[in-house]
Amino acid sequence: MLISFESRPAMIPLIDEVLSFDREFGELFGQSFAPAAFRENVSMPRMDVTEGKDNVVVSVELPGISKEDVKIDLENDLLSISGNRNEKGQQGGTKQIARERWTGKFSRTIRLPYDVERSAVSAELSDGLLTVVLPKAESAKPREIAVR
Amino acid sequence: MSETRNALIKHNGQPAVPPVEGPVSAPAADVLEEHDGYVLMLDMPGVLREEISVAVAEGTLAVKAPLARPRGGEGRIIHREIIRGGYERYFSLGEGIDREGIDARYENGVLTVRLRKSEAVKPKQITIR
Repeated sequence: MLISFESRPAMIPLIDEVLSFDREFGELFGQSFAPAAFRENVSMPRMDVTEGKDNVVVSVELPGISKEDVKIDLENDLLSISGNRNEKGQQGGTKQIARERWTGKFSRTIRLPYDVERSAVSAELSDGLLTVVLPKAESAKPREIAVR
Repeated sequence: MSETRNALIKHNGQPAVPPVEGPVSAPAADVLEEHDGYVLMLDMPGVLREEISVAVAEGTLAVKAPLARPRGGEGRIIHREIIRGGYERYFSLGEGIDREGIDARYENGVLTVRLRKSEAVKPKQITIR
């Protein structure tokens, strides 16, 4: 008989959600309660988080952004992906007719559900999709314990 | 929308652009007017260049792409916001657009379509003799 252990339940309290709540809440009171750095107009591109057996994969939609303009920070168990989308501004004689795409600063932050192997984190930006692969630390991998 | 779709399908008796299967979303678009044409920019991250189709039929520009590959990793979903499905969007073209001179390129997840104004509507400078 085998019993398998998982290190701890995956819980990602989303800072983004808190911020979007603050934005709505702030509209009611005419002021924001979030820290100043968060109050700027920052876009939150769509993000997926998937857990594999040995890693956690974070994907973010970043169309039109070159890799030099993306910053990935891992501080304790907080993963932040941020940067700037600045496309060529209007040139002389150019008129904007429709504008739906977001521009300027973007930021996403999540609390990682597992300890990760910091030195082995990798990231790839291809076709406007950023994929960050964070291998789980040994201590976070599922273990099987044989019952004697 | 469905009429436009039908018009595209019936064009020349052949499907001009086969409809994308499964769920689709309309990509966000910017439209710029330049001196001699228009530029459309669409955010379409995560598709394959070969699978994007840009076609004009009966005054409508159709942009379509099926979802080319699974986005994100394999395994248990912890958090999901990215829409699974293809992209599909239609633009009505005015009379003043040259139907032949349409150019499209896909780079870093952004599709850029350039449309030229037809000669008749281009601003002209008249030289005074």
